[in-house]
Amino acid sequence: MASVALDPGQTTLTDAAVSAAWEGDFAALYEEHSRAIYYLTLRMLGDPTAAEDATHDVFLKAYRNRSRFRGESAVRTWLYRIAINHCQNLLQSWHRRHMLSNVDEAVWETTPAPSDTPLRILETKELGQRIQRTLDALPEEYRLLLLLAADQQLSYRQIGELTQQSADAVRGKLHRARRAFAAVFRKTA
Amino acid sequence: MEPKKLEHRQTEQTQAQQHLTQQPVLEFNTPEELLRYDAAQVNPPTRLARRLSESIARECKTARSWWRRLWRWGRED
Repeated sequence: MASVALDPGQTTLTDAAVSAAWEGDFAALYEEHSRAIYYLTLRMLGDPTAAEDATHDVFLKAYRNRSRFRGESAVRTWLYRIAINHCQNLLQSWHRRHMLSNVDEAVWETTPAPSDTPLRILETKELGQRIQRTLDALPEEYRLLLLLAADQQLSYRQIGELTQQSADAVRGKLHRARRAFAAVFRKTA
Repeated sequence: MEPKKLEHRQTEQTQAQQHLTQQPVLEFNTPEELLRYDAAQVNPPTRLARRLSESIARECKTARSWWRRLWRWGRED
């Protein structure tokens, strides 16, 4: 990682100083993973500005703690762990638990929405909003599992590590999460 | 209405109908597929990289200042 040369007493950052700080492995790490982290925070928090702030904070935390990363997990998993903790702290502090988050899972179990029926979409213009409304209506655990499972770089075992459960538990809950998502998504059309 | 104008209007209507019927129907077998499609449409704001690089540069500056202060304190004694 490049160090930044600044004059003593200098209070503002020059372009050269910023560029120097940004060179190297960390810029490559941001390039590779920022889209995934931003998308997770966007759909977890439901607000682009909050997602931008959260993504900034996640990568800054990663930068500060980069010496602690021992390579025992994939970088992507490590970043996701920071992002999930950050989003959950924010959601708790904002008291933004959705009404349906407290609904018993049995509600989704009885929802007549087969998960093997394809989701058909005619209008992509407001698709992001539909997806957000759907995710917001799901229990937080389902939302997180679906978002992580959507990342093809993560295995069920890694999703289990991130959500502190076994791969089998992830598989079972994902099945229910898919049904729940499909049921709510169709209602948002 | 003149025949030419009527013909023109009918052609426009047909084209509009064709446009509607030709609108692609996206189909996703699982929510994960849909989310992957959605994720591919979403990019982090370009200003975010700049903002983060500035924050990291400040971190570097703060770390350096701490050592500089310590070094100066040692010399003044």
